[in-house]
Amino acid sequence: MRAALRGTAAMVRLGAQSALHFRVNVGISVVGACLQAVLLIVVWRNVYANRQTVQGVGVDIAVQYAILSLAVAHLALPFRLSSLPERVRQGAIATDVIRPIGVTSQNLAHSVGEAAAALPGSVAVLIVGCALDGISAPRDLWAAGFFVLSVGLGLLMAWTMNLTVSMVAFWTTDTRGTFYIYRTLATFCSGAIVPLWFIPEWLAHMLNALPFRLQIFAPLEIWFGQVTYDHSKQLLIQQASWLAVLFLLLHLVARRALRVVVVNGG
Amino acid sequence: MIVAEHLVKQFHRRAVPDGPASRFRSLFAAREAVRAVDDISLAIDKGEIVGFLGPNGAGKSTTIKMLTGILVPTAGRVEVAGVVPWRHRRRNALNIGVVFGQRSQLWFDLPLRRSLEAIRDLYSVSAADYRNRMSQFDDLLDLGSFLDTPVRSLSLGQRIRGDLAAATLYRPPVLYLDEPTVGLDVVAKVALRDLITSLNVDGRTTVMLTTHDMDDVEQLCQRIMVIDGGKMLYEGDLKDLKRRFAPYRDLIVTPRSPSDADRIDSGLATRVSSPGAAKVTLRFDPQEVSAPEVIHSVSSQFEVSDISILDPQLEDVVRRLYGGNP
Repeated sequence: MRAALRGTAAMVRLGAQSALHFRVNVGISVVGACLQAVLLIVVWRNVYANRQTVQGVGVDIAVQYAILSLAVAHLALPFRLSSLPERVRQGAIATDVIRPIGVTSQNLAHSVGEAAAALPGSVAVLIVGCALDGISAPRDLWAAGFFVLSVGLGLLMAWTMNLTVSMVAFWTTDTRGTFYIYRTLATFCSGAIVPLWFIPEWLAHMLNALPFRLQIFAPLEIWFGQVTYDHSKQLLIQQASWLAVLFLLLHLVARRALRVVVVNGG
Repeated sequence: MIVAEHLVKQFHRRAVPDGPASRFRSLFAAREAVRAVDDISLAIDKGEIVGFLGPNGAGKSTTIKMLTGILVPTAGRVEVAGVVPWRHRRRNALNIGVVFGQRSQLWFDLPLRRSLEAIRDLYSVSAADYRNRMSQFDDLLDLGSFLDTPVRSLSLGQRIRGDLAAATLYRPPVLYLDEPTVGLDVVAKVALRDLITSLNVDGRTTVMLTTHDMDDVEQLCQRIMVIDGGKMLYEGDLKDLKRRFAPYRDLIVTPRSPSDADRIDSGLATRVSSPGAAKVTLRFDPQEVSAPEVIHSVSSQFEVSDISILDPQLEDVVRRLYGGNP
């Protein structure tokens, strides 16, 4: 157990080191995230220029939602969803398979490390939000605590799903088409682009049956105090349950994938 | 230590037909089975260094990938240090080290040191062992001079040395080396061979070496296996291989007078050098005639300034074996 933890920590460290190694890229990502935050604030304030609320949601909430969802999505749905497809394509997966911790653990740990390296971007978004008067404190300390917990679970869900989808590389090698569809679905259905308050009821019912909304929208509902204390706990239980299901799914897909490993070249 | 019985690996590929719209028609084409490894059995004892040879596409790397647990065999049984590699990949990982000459296990963008630290933690190597082994690597592989260079900036020789360090840092009892010396200069090859010998002698590490470099084989391997078309062609020691596939020795004669070169002959051996050559090569079968007899026959007829005997080159022997021309 201790050995596995030490190995996992090494993979987290490698993920972060690999991402932070290219400092210019880190800097550009931070600038890009800040730019996106400013644009979102400007656009949402313009949407509300002549009205108090849209579907019962005020401008302050809409702007705050845009900033917080951007900060979380920056970690949950990074530009490169996983390094796995690249490793499958280049044949480097051969060395992953023969390491003493599993391929899924290695890749999840790597994603955690990469997310740690992406934290400056999320923090910068929050700073921009505060500077432009776009963020206010949560309802109470409970909401803040539940929010942090919920964001953590939501990120784990997102990284697990990202890796599960990446496993398609074992069958198709090229994942660009799959990633395009997945990213579109995930960003929309998780509420990363548009708050799910604004979607039609029939679609909301459909999204309630999927795990995406629990990645970004659910934590933000808790932050805004739009759910009760008991409902917040229910959301956390739902997230934990979905996480267990997603882990199981990942494990099943990985087991199947590792039986069809083909390493290109000699 | 390594046992494989009736090992088979079959891949399926969709045939691409010729003619118009071949790409489209290939979508509906039947998938054809290709056997990369076809009924290979082998056994390697603890502490052995075995050369695993074969021409390109013979199935060497596929066999190694099944022995390491990367690929799942289509049929057959594999056991390495008592573990079925593909079924118990994590347990197997602690028993084996692998160097693939054509791909690296190091993290491409990071300095070599970061990769080795990660390997240290992945395999639970203690701080003291890590220090000692890094010092040994520095002595044998001159690792210290490029430890802080990103892997992508290393030369091929440096990268392979880094890979060998990564594969042996945790002292696995079994080491697979898949074409580790391909493209290396003489200095790097010698460094690699020294480390392999040291691991084998000091730690009784079992080594399975795939290579096209016959010097590697002659200097390191006690036994060789030759495969082609996925099938085992030969298994045994080097001397026996040469005896079976190259049962001759060459007597190289330099006559004192160049004009004698084209006249030198011996009824006991066959002349194989071309006319006009300054040195004459006479080939004889040591089972039928001894070297002193051939030498005496030549020197009694001509004045000779130099004479030497050459054993068959392993490269020639293997070429004959690959070509099915014993």
